[in-house]
Amino acid sequence: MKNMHTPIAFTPAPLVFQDEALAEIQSMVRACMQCGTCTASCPNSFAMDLAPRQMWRMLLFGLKQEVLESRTFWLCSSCYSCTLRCPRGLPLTAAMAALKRLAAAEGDAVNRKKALFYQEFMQNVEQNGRIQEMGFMCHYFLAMHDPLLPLEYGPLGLKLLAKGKLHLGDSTQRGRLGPLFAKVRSMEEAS
Amino acid sequence: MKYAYYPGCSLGTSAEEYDVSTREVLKRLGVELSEIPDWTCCGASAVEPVSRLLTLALPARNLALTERECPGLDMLVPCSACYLNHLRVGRECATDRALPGRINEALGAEGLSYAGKVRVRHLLDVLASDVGPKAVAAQVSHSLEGLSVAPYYGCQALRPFALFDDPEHPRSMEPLISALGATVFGWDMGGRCCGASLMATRRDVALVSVAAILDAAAGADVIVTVCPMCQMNLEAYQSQAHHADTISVLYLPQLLGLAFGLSDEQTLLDKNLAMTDALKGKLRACEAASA
Amino acid sequence: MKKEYGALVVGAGIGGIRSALDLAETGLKVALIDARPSLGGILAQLDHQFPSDHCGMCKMLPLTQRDQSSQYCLRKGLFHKNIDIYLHTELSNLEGDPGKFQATLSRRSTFIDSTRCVSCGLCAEVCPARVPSEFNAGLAQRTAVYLPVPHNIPNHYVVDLDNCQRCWRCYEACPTKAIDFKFEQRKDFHIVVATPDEQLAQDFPLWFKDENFPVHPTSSGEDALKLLAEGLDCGLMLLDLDLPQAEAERTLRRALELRPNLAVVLLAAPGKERDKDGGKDKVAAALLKLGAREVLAKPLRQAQAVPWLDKLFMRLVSDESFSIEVGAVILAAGFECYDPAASPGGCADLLLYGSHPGVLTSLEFERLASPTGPSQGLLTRPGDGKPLRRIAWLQCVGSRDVKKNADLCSSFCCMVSIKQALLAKRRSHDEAETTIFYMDMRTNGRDYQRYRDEAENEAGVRFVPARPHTILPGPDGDILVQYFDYAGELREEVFDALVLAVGARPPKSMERLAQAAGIEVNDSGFCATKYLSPNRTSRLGVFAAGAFGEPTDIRGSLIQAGAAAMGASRMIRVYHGPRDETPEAEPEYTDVSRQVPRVLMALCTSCPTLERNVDSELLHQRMATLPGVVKVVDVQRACTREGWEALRQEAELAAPNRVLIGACLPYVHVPRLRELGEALKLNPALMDVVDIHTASFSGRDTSFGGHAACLASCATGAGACDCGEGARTNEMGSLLAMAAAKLLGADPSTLPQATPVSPQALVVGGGLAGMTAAMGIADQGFKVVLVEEAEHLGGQAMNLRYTLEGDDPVRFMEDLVEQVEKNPNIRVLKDSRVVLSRGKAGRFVTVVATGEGMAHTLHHGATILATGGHEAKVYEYGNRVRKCVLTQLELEQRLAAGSVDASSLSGVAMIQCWRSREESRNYCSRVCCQGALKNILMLKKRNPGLPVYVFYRDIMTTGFAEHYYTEARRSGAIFIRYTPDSRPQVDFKDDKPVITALDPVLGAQIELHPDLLVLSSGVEPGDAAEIADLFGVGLTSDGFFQEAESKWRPVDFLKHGIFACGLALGPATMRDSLLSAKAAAQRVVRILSEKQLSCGNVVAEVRDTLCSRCGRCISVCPYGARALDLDRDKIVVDELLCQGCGSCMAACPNSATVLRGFHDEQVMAVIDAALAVQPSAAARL
Repeated sequence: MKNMHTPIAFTPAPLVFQDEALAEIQSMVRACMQCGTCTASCPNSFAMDLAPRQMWRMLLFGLKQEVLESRTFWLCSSCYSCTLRCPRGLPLTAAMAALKRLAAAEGDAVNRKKALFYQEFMQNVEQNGRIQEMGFMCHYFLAMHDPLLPLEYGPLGLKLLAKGKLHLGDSTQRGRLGPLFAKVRSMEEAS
Repeated sequence: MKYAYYPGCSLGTSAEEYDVSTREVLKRLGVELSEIPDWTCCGASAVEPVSRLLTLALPARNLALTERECPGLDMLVPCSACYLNHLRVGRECATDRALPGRINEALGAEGLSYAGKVRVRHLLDVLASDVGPKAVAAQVSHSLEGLSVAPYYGCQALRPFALFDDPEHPRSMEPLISALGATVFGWDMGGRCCGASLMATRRDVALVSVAAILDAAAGADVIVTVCPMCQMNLEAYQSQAHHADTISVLYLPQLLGLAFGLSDEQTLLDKNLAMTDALKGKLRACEAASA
Repeated sequence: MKKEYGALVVGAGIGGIRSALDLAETGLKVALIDARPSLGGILAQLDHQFPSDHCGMCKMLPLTQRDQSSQYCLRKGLFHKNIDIYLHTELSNLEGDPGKFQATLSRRSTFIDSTRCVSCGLCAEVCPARVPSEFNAGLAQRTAVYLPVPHNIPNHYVVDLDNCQRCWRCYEACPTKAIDFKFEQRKDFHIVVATPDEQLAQDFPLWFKDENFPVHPTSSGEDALKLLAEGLDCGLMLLDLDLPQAEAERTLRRALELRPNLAVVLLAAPGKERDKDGGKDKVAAALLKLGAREVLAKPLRQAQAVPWLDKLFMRLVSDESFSIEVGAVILAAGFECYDPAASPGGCADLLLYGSHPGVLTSLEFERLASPTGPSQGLLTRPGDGKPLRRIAWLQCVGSRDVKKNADLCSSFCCMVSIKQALLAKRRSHDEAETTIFYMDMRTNGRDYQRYRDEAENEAGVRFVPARPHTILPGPDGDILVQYFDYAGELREEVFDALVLAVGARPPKSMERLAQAAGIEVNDSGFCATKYLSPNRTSRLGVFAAGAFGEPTDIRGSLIQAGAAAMGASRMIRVYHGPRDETPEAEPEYTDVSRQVPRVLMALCTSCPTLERNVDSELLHQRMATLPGVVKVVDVQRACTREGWEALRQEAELAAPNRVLIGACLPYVHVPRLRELGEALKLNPALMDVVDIHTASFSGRDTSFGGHAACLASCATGAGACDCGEGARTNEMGSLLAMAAAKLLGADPSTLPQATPVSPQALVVGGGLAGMTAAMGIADQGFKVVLVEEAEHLGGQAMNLRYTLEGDDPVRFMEDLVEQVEKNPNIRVLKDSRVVLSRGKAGRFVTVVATGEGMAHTLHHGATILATGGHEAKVYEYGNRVRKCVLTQLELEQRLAAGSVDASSLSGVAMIQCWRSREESRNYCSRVCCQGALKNILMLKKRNPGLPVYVFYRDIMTTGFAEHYYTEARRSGAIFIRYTPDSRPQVDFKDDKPVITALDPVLGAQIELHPDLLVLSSGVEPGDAAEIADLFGVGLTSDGFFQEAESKWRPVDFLKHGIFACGLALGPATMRDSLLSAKAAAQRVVRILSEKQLSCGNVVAEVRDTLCSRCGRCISVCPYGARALDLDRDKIVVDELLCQGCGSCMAACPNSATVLRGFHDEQVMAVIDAALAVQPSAAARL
């Protein structure tokens, strides 16, 4: 783990009013007693750079940038094992999602790129009312600017195509969710 | 028995066979479905990392439609991600008093309102609890004797809300599988995560999970599942997961359909990517035995 | 006539027993009930108790007047003349007001007549049923007719009707006809069935033909009522809900009018007994409310309906309900151990509990370690018998888990696990590796930290601060435990067994009991009490004792129970006016010391098993030849009233001066001997009961089959086993001869003069504890002198500004001071100190000097020492020099006064356990964690964004205080664990603290710049050395008062008549002090309520001429009853304190110490009698 063995010096500053987005996530994990059950329950923890337990701790210490630099929360696959097992009943999976939102909004280029998958997905939903898998994947590949990515998924695409599964799907609901998305956006901006 | 049916987007495209077999099997079991008119995407597992309010508003829209169009009916959802998204709305509203107001403000954009009256049910819950293995057994015309079936439940049908099964050691599929004459393959991977959407973003990590699950299934003839995401992950990435022997991954209603003697059009087995010869052989043997 | 009692105590575990004894000893009659069929609660199952790792329950028995209770092992039974025990009994209703409650008790039948049962076990031998044994925590099986606690005396079998298979084999096997299944009454038990179902009406009479029940089927409610109106003596009505609802309801109402005690059972069609939501159907629910007994689901099948109805019949005719009148009620129903398997949202799967034989609860481990347990105390794994050499304990199973509605700490599990780990070490001769996984090791008692340190450093118990998350079956039946250690490494270890330290849950019957007693429960399901009135429930006159109000350990339970007894006692006195001034007259006995011994020997011949085994004629002849025996008589069934009446008549005729009774279960007869003594004017010390019954069964194999075979062969005379008639007769003869010899040698001289009691108490220390104790005594009508060194009452508690629970301690203390000063029974001497004290329990003389130079001489019967303590002083880090360094108490005061403004602070750091929990103050101060939480929550309330960092070793929030720990975390305070090896370092820069420390979770150094550093400095006792010296009591190495026994006599000193409470006894919160003060007050009242104190019959004496003053007897005396009187150059014995144990006699090299009533000649004569060859036996040989 980066920088962790040299002293981190920080002067405590008021936590709640300093950063609302951070405070919201902090409030989700405040009652944490550092038992580590989350880390142990996580099927993807082997690939994480910060153990979830450490990440919660750093959040509570206000080490926002350090947390956003980590890949841990991007590796949450929403299996809810940690949420189920947490003896404090903390909404840890929801906190992971909140971190993804925070990273998309405030993170660096790396974070923004990682958020693209979800954003492209929702953009497709907004347009079509129901997700158009084919269109979504095409957009996603384009947005990622990674020439190798489509190749990786290519064989699968071909298989799906062969099975007649990659049609555009029904377009009856196209534009159906436009008003709701707009309303939610305006509400979130207002708050 | 009648339910408001929410198929969800996947079942219209990549998981068509799940949709068709679900409708056919339920029809055979005397369960009536009334598809929710005008339903839209619930946001699946992508919405939460994008917007918290949308996470609740999208499914709430479908719930509001159900309340208006299918009053008094439970909402039946075959997709686990859709199931959790819809279920969560009521759960969160119960603990956060400000939430219903905000959701309804958003739904106001479409003139809808959500009152929290709909009970959200997973297909597996309905099959295991409402229909029950007895009624299932009564429909079996082609016993699946000799077939070893590994039940795979995935995550979101079980967690975080433990409603119809043990979220750590799920067992609800077992009586159903036994009712078909098949053998339950004993393993403890039924509730293990398949990696879900990490398959798109961090395939290397998701493949570790898939490999672990497939390895543990060695010896079973078929894996059955109740989630389109799990089905796709387990089925489509078998070669990348360095898994030597391929294994078929069917939806639970497909398996039921086989035992009920439904036609190919009703089970859509040819839509599955990994129909192994071994499984086909076993199925033929079952058929021969019951004929 | 309705029985009247001073108090009803619900629950006969140690809490209930303590409360009952505390009340009974002051002369109040007590009804002690328990829902279980046995006494002792959970302690009946525990053999080893921290810190002695033995049992010590008997130490809570009365020390004085001990002959009033036939005193011996408390785990086997309790006898006190003022306590009536009702087992298998629950409180079903409580009406009325304090002083005059009407309590309705319902007693479930055990179907075995305890006056007939001789515990031979033949019934259990033939019983085919097998269910998990409660006594062995499910590790072994029992039969449906069984002994609830195998070691009880007297011990009677009970029938567990729910699991009975109705084979009636036990009934047939019972040699004394003690089992009563009411066969005769079945033919008179009329059953009326009202059903429109013709098939059912036809079937029913046929089904019950074999059972002899007269069944009257009717097709309508009208017809059924007609039968009742015609006078049919109907015991049960079955009412079909298929009848129209109005008709069913009318029938029920009318039937209950005609026969108020009629049992009505509803028959409900499938689906009708429950509505959609799983609750009762509305119609059924309405009728149940009207008085129907229960609902039975249709269709009925013979195989189920017949046993069900037959059992219902047996319950109806055998269970009883009765009312008693009581002045106050104490609820001591204890707690239930968390069951990982049964609780909703349990964790059985996660922890492999139930599926892996190596995963045990702590209760199961206790049974495994018990010699009376399933493995006879061998620590082997159930299932495969593998010796347990690697054992892990998992703390907080079912505790401190908000998801299981347990936002509480169960308080006892940490110490239990340490004790069990040490036990495992000892049992395995140090071979066992023991590991305790914990989150916080709560060693928050005065001496607990040292116990832990010893376990860790000397015994080698490993403590791992981690919460294992995954338990998997390992190789060879072992268990794989995975956990994240503090370095963030995933670790995996293999163990032979995993012990789950299960926590406390409210008793299963809590809901029922709370409703019956009319009390409220708190969020956790325990009895609701208030922090500063810890024993009061929501209902006046109803008190909570033991762990019923808050989970606690044995010591805590006993203190709680003592305090509850004080509350109840005070309530009874308040409502019943001043104490009855005419105490029971002491019986007067004839002085027989100059008479020739005349022994009347009575032999109980009632037992059928005896008759078959003994040649009673031969026995008679032989006994008549013994020296001193004037008459040998037979008595039929000595254990019955009639038997004793016959015995009394015989005794009056023979006018003996010694009485020897050959019967069984001597302890049961002790109260009767006292009555007999009064009738004959003969001291009961000159009477004895010898157990000839047990002799007749001696040597039998207690396992199934052994005895039955042996009995059968004896009865037919075919066998020659060692229980043959001749051998039995000889053995019985020897026992009787020995007892006769002992009686002949008994000292008939009258007892030494009893000590008259000065009816006044002295309380030293006018703080919270002293004042509370003084009020507790004064309110019960006794005079109290309260001596305070300072010029004002109040003490340490006056420094507090708020409590964690939101009380106002300032106002509380002001009220208390006012009450004390106004109380006419309390005389307050301020600015005064004790200068001299002499005397013993009942009669102390103490001189108190006041500031003005006056000296008061006080005569008092009992003393309470409550000299208190204070916040420990710390001088490190510029505390007292720098304004930014405070103690927790200072912060509390400044927050209250407003001199610290939370909103202007930018960061606060706290360091817990400052110089505590390590030598030289190696104890947990108990108040600092709660003090810190109090300050955190106050700071956060005033400034929610204020960062607060707490450096801690273990947070010690036991009981419900745990909730505030959760709250503090929730409020955003960050808790950072440190160890004594890596303490936070404090420097100052620009006069502000800079703290560097290792955060073990991050594995990194952190540096904090708070503007306040708060030190939890802990508490110290006041300087009590002089007081301890004056009163001759002990101090611990830390300077606290040393009680007689930390668990069983928590507020007593070894020196009788002196008690301790409050902070001087050990670190204590306000609540703790209140409780110990009340408990101590009740102990004092117990002494003051006697006119005089008399010692027991067996007491040590010293023959001064033989004594060399070596002093060995002083150090061996476990009761501190002996001392060297320097003035008279003599070893003196405090006869009230001496319990006649005989340790001194064994230790004395010169035989200078003797036990009155148990001297050498007597014992020699007994041995001679035992060894004497009996004439007829010799002839046969």
